[in-house]
Amino acid sequence: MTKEFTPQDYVKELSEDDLLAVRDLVKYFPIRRSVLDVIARRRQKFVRAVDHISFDIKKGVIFSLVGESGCGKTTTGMTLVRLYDPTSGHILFKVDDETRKKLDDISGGRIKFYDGYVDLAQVPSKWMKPLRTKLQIIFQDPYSSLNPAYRIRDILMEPLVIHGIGDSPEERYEIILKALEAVKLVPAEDIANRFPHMLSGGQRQRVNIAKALLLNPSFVVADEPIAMIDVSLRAEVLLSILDLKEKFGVSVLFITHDLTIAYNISDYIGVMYLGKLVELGSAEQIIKNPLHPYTQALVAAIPIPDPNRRHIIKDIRIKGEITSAVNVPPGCRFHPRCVAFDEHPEIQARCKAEEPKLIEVEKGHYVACHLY
Amino acid sequence: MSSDLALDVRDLRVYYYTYAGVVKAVEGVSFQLRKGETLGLAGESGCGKSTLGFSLMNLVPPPGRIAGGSIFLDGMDIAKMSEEELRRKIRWKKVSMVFQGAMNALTPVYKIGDQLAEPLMVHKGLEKNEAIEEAKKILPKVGLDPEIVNRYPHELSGGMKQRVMIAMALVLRPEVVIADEPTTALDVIVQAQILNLLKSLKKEFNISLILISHDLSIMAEVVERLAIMYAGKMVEIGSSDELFADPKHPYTQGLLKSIPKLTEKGLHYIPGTPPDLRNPPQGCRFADRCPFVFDKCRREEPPMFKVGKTQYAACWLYE
Repeated sequence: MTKEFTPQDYVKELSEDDLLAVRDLVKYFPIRRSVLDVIARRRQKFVRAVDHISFDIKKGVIFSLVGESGCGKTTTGMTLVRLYDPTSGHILFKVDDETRKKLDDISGGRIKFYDGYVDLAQVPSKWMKPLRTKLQIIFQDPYSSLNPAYRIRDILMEPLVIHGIGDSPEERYEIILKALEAVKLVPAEDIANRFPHMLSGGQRQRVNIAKALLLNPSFVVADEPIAMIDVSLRAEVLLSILDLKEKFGVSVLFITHDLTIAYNISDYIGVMYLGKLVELGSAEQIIKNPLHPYTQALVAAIPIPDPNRRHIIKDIRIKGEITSAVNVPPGCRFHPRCVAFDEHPEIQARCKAEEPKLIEVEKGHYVACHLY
Repeated sequence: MSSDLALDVRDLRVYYYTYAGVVKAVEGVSFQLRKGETLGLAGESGCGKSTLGFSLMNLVPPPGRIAGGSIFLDGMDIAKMSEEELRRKIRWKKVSMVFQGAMNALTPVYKIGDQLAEPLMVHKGLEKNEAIEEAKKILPKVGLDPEIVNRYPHELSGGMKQRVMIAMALVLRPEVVIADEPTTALDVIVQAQILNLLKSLKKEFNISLILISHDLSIMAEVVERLAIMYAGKMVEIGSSDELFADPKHPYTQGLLKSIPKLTEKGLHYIPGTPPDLRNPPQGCRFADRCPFVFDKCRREEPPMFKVGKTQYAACWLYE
């Protein structure tokens, strides 16, 4: 084993425009043991939701995490904004001077900084408050993420009050109206006075985007934000998310299972399988030239709106179904489902024994597979 | 009625009688389903596509019911049958359904075999062991191991449960199968596998299939003819070849544009929201969101105009 890397070592490798760097991030959820398990002294089992993943997110880009349900993409997003505490690993996040000062004040200077980065994984929850404004999340379900008893203005007022933004209610109301206009919810005054049930799913989701925007964040996690929105209105929400990046310079981690949408909205795509990143690259590279056998199957399964393909029975080169993240297969996690594994007997021993690392096969295009 | 029709729906109206008012979920819909054909019903949530699907078995959940029109199958009008007749003659025997969220439609406390055997015992009068044998025969057709008759639903994955639901819909060899969003809760790969399965089963069992979905990409991959619904109305119907190549109704055009594609990047949407079906606007229901709206649209409701070889659109542009 080589020497243990410290956050300082990682920071040295980062470039000026890296906003967030995830290194060896791990999130395990313990499974409750029964009395019998304890008596028999069976080992504690874990759901290995996120298992040693590393990637960078630059300033002002949209990075999509794609994969099947249960692959750990949502857990990754929740961990990055510290709604979950990571089991181990580092989340290096660049902070501005103002936030740095607030962090110093709240912790009495006990939070370490590494060349302007702070390791989110090491900040205790009680000191997270100054960072919360910088890290925001938009949830999947716009029907349950807005309090039905509050007017939109009251819903949006709360984060401002908590973080002490704006000096008077009037000033706060101005900020709210601006945020609503930024997501094209106009007339803003009218929307602000409505209750959530008076808005469509797409409008509610844009209220959530406005809510994230209010606090002037630098990083937003959008967890399947359009899964529950009508087809004809999805693009409206997506365009607001694009605005986050283009008008406000926010970096977005976009979580989705829909590769077509990921392709249309993101700069970079990461493909996850059973808690691991199996492929990473630009949106173009991942969709047009998928290298990992799993990504290839995902891309082949994308439905194409072309009726001429109706008579084709699609060839989806994958076996079985996703296994549980509790009993992870040894070696490459994908090998029990991998078609390439069957076709290449010469590498089978490695696939079964050795976990493949992400290697760069072309510029900016990484894949974790023994084929390469 | 000519004999190559599996279903002939005429001027169907389905209303929900709620405390807040009458919701006109399906309003004057007519279409025909040919034998052996795959017809798609597409539209956004709340457009009435699922309600229409339920009404084809006369199974609209209360407070909804069929308020008018007829559904002919073999010369019988499903819309006017009694519950008893429907149970004996139509449901599952002639028309069956793969329900939305089918993964939760299986009873958790019965084994798969028992659940598959039930319709066989009720309708065909088979003994339980005969019925289970019959069930075992159908499972390989949907790509499952016959031995899963002894398993409980929680032991199966989502894709496998969906396959069981499809097997259940086919077990009595019905003429018409309605699949309501059969892949919505499934992952992309499983979704593609289920669509493959539907395609091959359709040929093998020679069924007429109605596929209900909001996803036009899925429609393009499966259906021969496509009907687009908006706010309780059918606004366009035609062969998928014609309809995808040259959509006529402005709503269909907008909807097709709204699908993100891999061939070209771009995000499009239709501004506005669908109308409240308790109090639908006079005239065309799409008028408020339509880029081509003119006077007449707001006054009179457009009938279906023939706009192509197989294509009809309800829009005044084609008068």
